[in-house]
Amino acid sequence: MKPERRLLIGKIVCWGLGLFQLARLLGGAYYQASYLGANPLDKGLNLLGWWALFFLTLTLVWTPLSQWTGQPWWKQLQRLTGLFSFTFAVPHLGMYIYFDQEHNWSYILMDLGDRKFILLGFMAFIILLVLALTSSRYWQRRLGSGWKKLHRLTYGAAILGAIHFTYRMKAGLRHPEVKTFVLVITFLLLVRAWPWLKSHVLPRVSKA
Amino acid sequence: MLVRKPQDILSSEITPEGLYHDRRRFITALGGLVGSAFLPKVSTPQATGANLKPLVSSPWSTQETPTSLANATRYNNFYEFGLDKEEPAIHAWRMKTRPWTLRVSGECLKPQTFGLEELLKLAPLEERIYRMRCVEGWSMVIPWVGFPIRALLDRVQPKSTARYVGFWSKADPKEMPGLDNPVLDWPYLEGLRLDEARHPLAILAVGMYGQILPNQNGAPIRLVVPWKYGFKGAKSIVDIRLLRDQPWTSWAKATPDEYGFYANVNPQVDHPRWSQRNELRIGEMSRRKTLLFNGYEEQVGSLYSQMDLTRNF
Repeated sequence: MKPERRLLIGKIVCWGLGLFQLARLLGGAYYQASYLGANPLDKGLNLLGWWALFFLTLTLVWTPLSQWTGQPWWKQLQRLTGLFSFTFAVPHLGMYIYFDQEHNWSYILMDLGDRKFILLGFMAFIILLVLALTSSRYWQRRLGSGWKKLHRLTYGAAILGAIHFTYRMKAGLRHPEVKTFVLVITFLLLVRAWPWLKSHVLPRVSKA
Repeated sequence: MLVRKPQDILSSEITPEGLYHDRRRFITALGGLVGSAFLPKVSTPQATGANLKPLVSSPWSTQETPTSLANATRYNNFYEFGLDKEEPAIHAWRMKTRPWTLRVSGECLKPQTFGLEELLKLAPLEERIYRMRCVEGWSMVIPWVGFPIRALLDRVQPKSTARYVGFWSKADPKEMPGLDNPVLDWPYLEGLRLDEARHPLAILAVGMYGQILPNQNGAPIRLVVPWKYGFKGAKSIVDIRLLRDQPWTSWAKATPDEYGFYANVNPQVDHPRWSQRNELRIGEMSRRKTLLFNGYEEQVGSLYSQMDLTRNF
């Protein structure tokens, strides 16, 4: 199969998954009273946040995957899954501001101080916002080599997102979903940093 | 001590709207318990023998509107049946609650094993409409049916060496799929100081909304301590022990800096990761202020008069 065709299939799968999850959430919220359950606010926030982190993690998968398989087309899914992560993060934050904090900015400021994971979530969102705004080819050309560096912030957003999720759950790292996200993101980070670790850190360690 | 005039009509005598709409699902949930699966689909709760009557109304009850039965039975933290709040309602039917025995032992003169029928007759069953505040920041109002723990303790006669009471929940991997999660050290263990357990507000519940407890809410017998965070309320209790020393309760053991032994509801003492200042009452759309001791300060405050509540959280 030609790489273009594979890329097309990959795009269809990612679009399908993203749109399906969005539709399920919106449809559930509007048409099925039991879907969001007894605490619609919490469940809505949790689902949106979960999918934002899922697509963010997926975005980190493509680079190592293209290296291992020797098929660079995987990388062309980065923008799509990254933007889906942002697409889930926007209503996630919106629900928090509008419903959870009743769009009262003094509550929100207080909450940012009260709950560290809220601050971390905000920081992750700001990164996603910057990356989404500069995701177009126009910005890619305009920023030149700086664009690649800027978009490495995806890793920062994923780390912040993972800690945000961990802190939010009562059982923290003991929760199997939290544990899985943290392990996968850590693994992807190590894979990405491996060449650098090999040339910078390991020689020093072996000398000592 | 605050004593209110008893209500004229027990709230259990009014069919809650949620129960009315939810009756079939409720009966189905009870199916394994009382064999109502063999009854025609349109049986009434009375036909299942599930009603707990007569009930004595209690001056300790709040006048606040109870949470709908639908919400109280589909939004549960019962990790033995899964970490998701909707999982207990899906899986809890696997738990066999009859026959059931509760062993009471330890530092007492007359250790005994009680059958469920004995427990139901131990003391007059009272309806206690209590606020329930979860450590996660949400709350409900539940009309429990039960009796003071004191009534049980009087039967076994604690020795003077007994200072704490431990409550062990059932842990049977065949019935409880959530036990595969090493989130907590199973079986679930909760505990109270003996004077807390003897407080008239602290009850063992066998029912709610005038009916026997649904499995996901901790059938057939559970602890309810309304001035403490919900996780103190051990569900499906099989073992109660009078102890000399403070037990290492499950959550305190898992994360000692986040969940203390006392776990008194306190808006001034934050969870390390979130504030406890306010709560979302299930069924409402905006938060309300959390009250010290969940609004039971007048009744229980004296238990902690000598204590630093920030250190003993």
